[in-house]
Amino acid sequence: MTARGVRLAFGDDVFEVELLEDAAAVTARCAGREITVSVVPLGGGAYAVVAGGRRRVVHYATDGTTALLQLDGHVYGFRLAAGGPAPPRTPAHQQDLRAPMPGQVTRVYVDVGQEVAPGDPLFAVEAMKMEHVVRASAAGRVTRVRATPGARVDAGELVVEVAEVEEGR
Amino acid sequence: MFHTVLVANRGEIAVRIIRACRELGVRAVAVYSDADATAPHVALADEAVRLGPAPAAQSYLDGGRLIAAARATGAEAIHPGYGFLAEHAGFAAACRDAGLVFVGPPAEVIARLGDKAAARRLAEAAGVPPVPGYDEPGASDDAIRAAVARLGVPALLKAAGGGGGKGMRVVREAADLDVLLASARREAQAAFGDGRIIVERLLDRPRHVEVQVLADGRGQVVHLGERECSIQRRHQKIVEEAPSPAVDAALRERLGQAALAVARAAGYANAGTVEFLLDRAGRFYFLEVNTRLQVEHPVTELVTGVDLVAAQLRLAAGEPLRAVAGAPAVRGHAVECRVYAEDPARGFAPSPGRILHLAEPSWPHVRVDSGVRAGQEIPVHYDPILSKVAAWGPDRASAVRRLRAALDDYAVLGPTTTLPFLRAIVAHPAFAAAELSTAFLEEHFADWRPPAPSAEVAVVAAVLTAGAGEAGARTGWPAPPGAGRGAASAGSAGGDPASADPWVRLAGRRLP
Repeated sequence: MTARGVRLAFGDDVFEVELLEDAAAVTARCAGREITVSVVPLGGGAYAVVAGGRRRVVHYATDGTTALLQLDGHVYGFRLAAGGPAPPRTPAHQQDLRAPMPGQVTRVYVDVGQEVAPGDPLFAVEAMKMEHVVRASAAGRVTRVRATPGARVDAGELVVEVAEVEEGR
Repeated sequence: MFHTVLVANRGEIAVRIIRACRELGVRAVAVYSDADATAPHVALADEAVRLGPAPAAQSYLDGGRLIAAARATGAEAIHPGYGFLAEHAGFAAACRDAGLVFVGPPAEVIARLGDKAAARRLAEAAGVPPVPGYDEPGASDDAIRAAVARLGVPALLKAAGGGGGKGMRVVREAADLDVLLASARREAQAAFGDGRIIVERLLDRPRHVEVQVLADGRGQVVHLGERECSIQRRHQKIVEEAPSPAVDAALRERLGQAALAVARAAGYANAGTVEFLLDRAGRFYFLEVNTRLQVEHPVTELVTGVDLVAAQLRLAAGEPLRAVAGAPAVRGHAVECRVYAEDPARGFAPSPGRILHLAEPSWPHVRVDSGVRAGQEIPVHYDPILSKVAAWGPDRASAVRRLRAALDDYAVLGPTTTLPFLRAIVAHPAFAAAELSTAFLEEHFADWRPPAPSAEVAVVAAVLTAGAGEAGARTGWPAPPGAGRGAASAGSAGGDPASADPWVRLAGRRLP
């Protein structure tokens, strides 16, 4: 019997999974539950998986940083975190306004130092014939603008930083 | 028939057209931008010509390069597919001037029907009422204000010179009209170089019903029944079916005759679609004509047995309509959904990127029109459609069951796709009951979100990431030959059960 741990992050949630493998199956412990799993590879990234007594075909792929799987008709993308602490979260008082998709920044509506109200447009990214406008989620002041119109950005790339104005001020 | 046809498109529709060429014994020439050099449509064609850099304006929208490519490869005809230059009268005219056959109606017909105000007037003159509205050419802001006052709100402002939802605004409060009219004019001017606006009454939860027509340009016109495409998001169709569950034989006959009257009045040639809105009382109104092949053409093909792309090529080559379409009859029911690389949880933001894993369903009476392959990088530059999946059945309920089963077998990992959203739509009781309208998604799916993973989902992800759990399976089920981890697209697992490392190396699985 060997024991191993896998740490997976989904959004802000972190799943720590302990795997105990023996000749018969693997027993996984996660969030206080114990689930027995066995796997038959079907080829081409598809697996017949029995988990918790239910048999399903699961599709799985990874690019080394994200594990993607389709199970029961839904697709989940987990960030792979090999040991170490969970990825840092953005402090509540700071909005990091990231490109929602890879594409080209078409407009930047704000300058550093500008006050913004919730819903104010900050910048626009265009990809696949669609323009997506990213807006402020709370009142604040623009502390940094990292891209200019015409710049290419990746999904999740930080474009505008806004320090939120404290309540009651 | 032509010897060589150039396919001026990409993705699933280029694949579809190249296959039709292959069946007809026609040599197919693909074109591609730098973003598509290794795309499936390029691999499938008999010859392929590079157009230019990735941006569409320098590749698929560059009519001069397309015509030069046709000349260089000896093509006699250009099939435009849908989108890009498919409804561009100037391109159709340029093809004709270059001695090439444009697979579609003549440039003059495209121009007349592409002008929404002119198309409404043509339909009205042919005895087919358009949606109640106001379509005076070049109407002033004052005239539009008066029209909205007369028609009442909600009303729809539409660009006269184009489509695709651009220059379109819903007026819900008369007080908002001035702001909405100004922005609709600006957007229409920017998109089509034409700021003219028409007004239509916004019908209450109508159904979108459209009739497929074929014409030989010599006065012969036939219709192939209707499709219903009510499930739309921002005027973008998502799920389509044929026939419409809201149309009985008598209404089908009237819709068909109305579509034929419009096509005849327009002097139509080749394949086209006459679109209508059907109100709650069963009255229908002319909406517009699409002078090209539609994305949703497979559902008509599945219920009529007519290959619409082959029909387009044969009509363009001068074959008579009788030989091409005969007397089409509708048999059974077909439902299609469009698979897009979009993230429904984030406002349908495009989700380009590399396809790490692709499994397409193979199922009786299920058709997948796909333009992608595993390992392909989905480019950021074009429409995010990946494929369409359609199912046929002897009746609607069996077609829907088959589509559900096929969608369950469909997996795309890498770009986020609309597949989970489509599964939820076709599993919805209102969809099963055929209670459809253009408000369907707003009413039932406005707040749809994919579920967060349970501990069980995380456990399965962890086991597959670690490459664990197969030992037990071997005792329970003999693994099929050649189905070991090494054969999987995800590559070999780094998980050695004897590993002493308590935290698994997670970068072990990697695509070749």
